[in-house]
Amino acid sequence: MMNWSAFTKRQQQMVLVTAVLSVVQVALMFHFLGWTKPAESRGGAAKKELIDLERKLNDARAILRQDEVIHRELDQSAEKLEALTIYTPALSDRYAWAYEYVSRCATLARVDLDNLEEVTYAGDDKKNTARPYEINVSTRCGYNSLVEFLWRLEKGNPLLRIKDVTITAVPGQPQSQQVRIVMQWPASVKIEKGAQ
Amino acid sequence: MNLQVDLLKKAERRYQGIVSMKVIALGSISVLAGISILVFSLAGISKMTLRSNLERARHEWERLSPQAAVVRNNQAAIAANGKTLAELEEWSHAGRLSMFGILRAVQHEIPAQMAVENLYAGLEQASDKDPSYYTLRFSGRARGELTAVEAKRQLNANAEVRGFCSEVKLVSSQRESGENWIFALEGRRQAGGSK
Repeated sequence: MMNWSAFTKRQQQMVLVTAVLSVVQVALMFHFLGWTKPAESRGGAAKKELIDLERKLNDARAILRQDEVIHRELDQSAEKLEALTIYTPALSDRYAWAYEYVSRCATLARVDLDNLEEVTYAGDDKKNTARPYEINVSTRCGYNSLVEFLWRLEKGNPLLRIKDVTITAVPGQPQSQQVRIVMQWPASVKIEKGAQ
Repeated sequence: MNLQVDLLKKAERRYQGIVSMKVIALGSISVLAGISILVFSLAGISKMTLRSNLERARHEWERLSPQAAVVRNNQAAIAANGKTLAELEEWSHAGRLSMFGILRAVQHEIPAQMAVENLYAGLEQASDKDPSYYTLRFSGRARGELTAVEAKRQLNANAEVRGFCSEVKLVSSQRESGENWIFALEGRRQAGGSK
């Protein structure tokens, strides 16, 4: 054990200076190495950028590992939708498409169509893709023929929806009714193919 | 008896340890300086490693980022297709009325003594803001006072009719002449509600 009082003044000064220098040096070291900051903020912008990049890289690697599965699922979902597009009117010529389908069903049910027209709403663009595509059919036929006609329409197209049917008796013709049918299809089937 | 006589003045005294005080002080400074050099060297190496890792990560990100973006796009496309499929499923099942089934049920349940003159079956909506109703409404002539009531009872016993418009009610019944009655029946169920 050193006896402080046994030191000369010069020795005491030397010890004091050494001690002060040590403390200053240690403090500076701590400061420059960033040990005075919290662990997450040490290393400055480069460290932060690296941590951020590593996180993004891990996410990217994880998603790339699923690439094959995702590609397969995308193909399957697109195929399912492709299979349904045959039941929706083509955007380019919806009226002709609907006309052909309804006429074919009417012929098979022995129903003569009087009128077939697109339903448009005030303020609607004709090719509005949000609203279902609507067709209004007028005919005069017997009740049994009408039921068969509706059955053929619904059976042959899973996406066709009969919105409503109005039947009015024709005076003096008990076997024939005036019929108005409103039918709808989804406006369009949008298929996302993804990035190639 | 031993006696220790200290003849040296305070300024003449010397440190009695094996190593002189000067050596200890210089040694301490040297050790501190050495440790500092070591720590700063390690810090320098760490910084260089950090820079090199950062550079490597940047290059890898440049390489992987476009590939990951493609896969993410595909994932978003699957979600969009799934949503479209769900909407079409909803369209073709939940929102689809089997209209031929309703008309066939009406034909089957209405007694022969009744003649339907007007019939409406469908999804009725007064305006875009109003709720939609599955509605079955018909009127005509019947022979017999209770024929329309009997028709109502039979229609309500039919599962297809009940599923469509919940319950058919006799709205009006009025004698036309003798046994002939004019009647009106109606059933309404709010779309989206329970059957």
